Amino acid sequence: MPRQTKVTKKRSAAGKAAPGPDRRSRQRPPSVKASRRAGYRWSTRLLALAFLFSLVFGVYLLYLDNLVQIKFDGKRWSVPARVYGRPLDLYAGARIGPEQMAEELIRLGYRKLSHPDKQASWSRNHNRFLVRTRPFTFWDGSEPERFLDLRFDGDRLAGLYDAGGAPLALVRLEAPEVGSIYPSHNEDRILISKDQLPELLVKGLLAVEDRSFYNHHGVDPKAILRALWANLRAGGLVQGGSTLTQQLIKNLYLTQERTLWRKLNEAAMAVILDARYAKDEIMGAYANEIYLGQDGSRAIHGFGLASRFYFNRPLAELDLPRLALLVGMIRGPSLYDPRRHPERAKQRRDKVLEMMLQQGAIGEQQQRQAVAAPLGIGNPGSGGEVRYPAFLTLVRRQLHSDYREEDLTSEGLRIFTTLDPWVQEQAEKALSSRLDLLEKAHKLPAGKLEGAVVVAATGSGEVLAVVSGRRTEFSGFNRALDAVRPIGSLIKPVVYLAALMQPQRYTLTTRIADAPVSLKIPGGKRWTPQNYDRTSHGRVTLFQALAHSYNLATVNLGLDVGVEAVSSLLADLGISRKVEVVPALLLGALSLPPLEVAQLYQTLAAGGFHSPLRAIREVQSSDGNALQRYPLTVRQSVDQGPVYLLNRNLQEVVRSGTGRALSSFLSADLRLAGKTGTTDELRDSWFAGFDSDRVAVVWVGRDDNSPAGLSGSQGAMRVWGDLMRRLKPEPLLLPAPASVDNVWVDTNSGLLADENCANAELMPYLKGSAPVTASSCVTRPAPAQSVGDFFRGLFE
Amino acid sequence: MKQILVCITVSAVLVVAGCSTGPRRGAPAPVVRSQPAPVTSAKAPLESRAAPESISYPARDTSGTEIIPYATAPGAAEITPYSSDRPSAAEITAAPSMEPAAPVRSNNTAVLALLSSAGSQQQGGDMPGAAATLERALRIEPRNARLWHRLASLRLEQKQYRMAADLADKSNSLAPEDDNLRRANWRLIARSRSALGDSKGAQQAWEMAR
Repeated sequence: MPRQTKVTKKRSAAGKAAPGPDRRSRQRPPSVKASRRAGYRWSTRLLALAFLFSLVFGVYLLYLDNLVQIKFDGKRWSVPARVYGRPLDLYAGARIGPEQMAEELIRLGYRKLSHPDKQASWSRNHNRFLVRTRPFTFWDGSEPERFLDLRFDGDRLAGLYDAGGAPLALVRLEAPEVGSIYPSHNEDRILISKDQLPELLVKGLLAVEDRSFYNHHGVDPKAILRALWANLRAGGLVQGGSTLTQQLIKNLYLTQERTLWRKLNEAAMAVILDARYAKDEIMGAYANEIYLGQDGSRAIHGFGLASRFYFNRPLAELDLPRLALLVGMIRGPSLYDPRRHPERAKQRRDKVLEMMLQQGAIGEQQQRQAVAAPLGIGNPGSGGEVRYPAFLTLVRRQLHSDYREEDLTSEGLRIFTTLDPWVQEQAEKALSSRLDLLEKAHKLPAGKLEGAVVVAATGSGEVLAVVSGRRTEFSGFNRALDAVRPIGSLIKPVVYLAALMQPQRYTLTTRIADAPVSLKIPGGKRWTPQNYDRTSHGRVTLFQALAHSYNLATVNLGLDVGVEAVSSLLADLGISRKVEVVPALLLGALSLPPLEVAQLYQTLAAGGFHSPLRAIREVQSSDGNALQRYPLTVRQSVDQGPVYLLNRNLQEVVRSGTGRALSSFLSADLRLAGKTGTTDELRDSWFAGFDSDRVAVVWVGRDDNSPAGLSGSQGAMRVWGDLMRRLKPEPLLLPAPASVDNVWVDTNSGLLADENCANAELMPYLKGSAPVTASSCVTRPAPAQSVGDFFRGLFE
Repeated sequence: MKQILVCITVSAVLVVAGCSTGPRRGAPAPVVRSQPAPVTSAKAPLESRAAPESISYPARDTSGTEIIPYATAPGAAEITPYSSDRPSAAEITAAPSMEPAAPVRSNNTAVLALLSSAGSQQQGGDMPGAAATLERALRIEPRNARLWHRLASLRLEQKQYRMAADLADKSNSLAPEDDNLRRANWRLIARSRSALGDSKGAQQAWEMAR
């Protein structure tokens, strides 16, 4: 308790000081009475002044003491919510190729070694991977550390075993961290407790920043003298004398101004802090508070986050050279930024290692090995950066309906999202590379095209990926969520669906007029839409008209069905926006952002079952309790039969219609379904479509809304094709609902046929709506539909 | 100069520190909070609106009490569009726990493993856990009609009738040929509808189940 003694001494000294001058004055000789009297007066004044000063000073110190305590005791480390992507489920037969596996492991920050003998490491020998996982706590339980043996065959995970060779049914890799929801003052951190601080990190801190941390009382006069001497000798600022405690005070309470007054305050508060709290508490606070870098507008605070940010690993996994680098960066996080200034950062790190050696914190061999090691920075874009800002915006918006902003940014929530980083990366690559190619191929000005992509799981409505533009690292304008653009022909499926829901009036083979239309519209003008190729195609079937996206046929059909019916069907399909009920709606005079288009097509792709698009699965509190689950919901919003007919028609779009150029990306055997969309003067290029499990929407256009110069099939569809090819889709199998019959019809006449007829095609009809009159090509009398045909048709 | 000033400050500080409450060395300074402030507020999740008194988080265990989102009225809890459906318990006759008529079939060992853990979670009273596990299985086999049915029966047991009926509809849509399953789904829909007070709809569903 040396501090206590000192305090008492000092107090008694002060107590004696008061009567001091008094006694002394009495001993003075009388001959100097006048001057004595003057001196007496002066000393009284001085005394009063000193008293006043110490009173003010004392009160001020009490105020500081109070400030330190309130702030430090009440210090809530605001810990932003951490956001995780979906964990990868590993099981025999999973559609995961070895390339994806390698990327997933790198994303998780696992080290590739020749033999994975440490946690979070892996090795690869062609199609065989050995992986030692990290344990991970999920919302619904923990996954222990495991040693896995994975065998791949083509694009499948063929076998999953533990290291002993026993097959495993299912293993969940840890959920990849994809970002955090940090507050508006942009401080982000991952909290670590003081016993989680690696010993070498503490040793490094002591060696470099504050040698006598465990011995001084908040300030270190010796260090200040040493720094002063060093600075004088060097003729500039080369060394600081601030203790860790002072640095912490500076970060916690004070501004960055460099004034004497602030220095004094800092020193006083450091002493108070040191007197009031244990060294380890101060060290722990320091480790969480220290500023260690900048990621755009996000400030990286604390060693926990810095470790993620620079090395993509938890702090506990860092080795000596990496720890030394972090210690070195305290001096100047941007000056020694290892990504921007690797040389300088390495020099600084080696200097830290040298100081650690000098202080006896490490041995000579340790130091030599560490100096020889590379910086070991994770790839750019693979650290704890916010990597998918567009997706995170969606997460944030969905969370905001249930949580307050300050809970999201300070309570350390763990948010498990539906983001599939693999799909996200493919979508980002597809968009940016394809837009480059399109600009070259169509001789468009470079860098002007923009785009957006949304991918969702059909059956559940889980959003897998959101791309908001070519440059995905910026979180600026989120085109996927906020670019509300006319959807053009993407509306047509809704018009046709509205018709097909009236089977007594419309089937896929009903003929409609693709003939000029001219309508009076409010304002005395006339609306005269035209076909894309500016010709009329006469009487065409619904099937052909949608496949080739004929405008005139669609308008005629829509007017017949009723614009009102189309707009109310839009609402059933999940569009909550207010829709203007005008004839132009039939050709897509409706503006939606890509995300809402994805919602519309999700309902179609899921056979009429609407699932609200969700970006979040679970929310967990910082201590591991489950707060909330966002469950899978479906609701049948449209009858399955008509949607089935429509989807068959959307397959035809890709097989023979406006989407046929997709065959240069994807095999026709996949039978993918989709629809192109183009708006006036080629301003917007759209494609929406689906495979067996995923629905994806792409928009391409320009931010200034000037013509992009691309139709739906020239622009967005190429991005879609590129994306889907990367995702290796499964064939789209549409099970025919019980309400549907597949019937052979003569496509020329629309009459009943059999499979021997020249132009016969198997077409789906809602029960009771199939043609009954046989075509002349039918030799037998009008056949009842054979059982074989029925089953053949089931999975067409 | 700097260090002199510092020294003065130091001594002065020590005086004041000595006068006041004295050092609290070793006292627990809550720098690292192990317990977060509860996420409460007016704008809190649905569950706190439904049950404002239960702001702390009960541990998820086998006691049969579900975690907050479900701990309120049965059938009212998750963030669903259906939370307004509060059936009167009297209307529910026999609430069957499982539908043995349509056991899940799968060649996928992962799905089977998940099914078995969902079963034990359900038996242990951990309904949200069981639902999450079944959803995980559905991510692996999104077109397995019997899996959808399995989730529907779980929701029925949770008395989330609207949801149960919707899931059974979905199951039916994926199984045009599986008559056993379709009948089981219709029975489930019938029960849900009668629990929701739709006796006519229930009657229709019973007919379909025949």
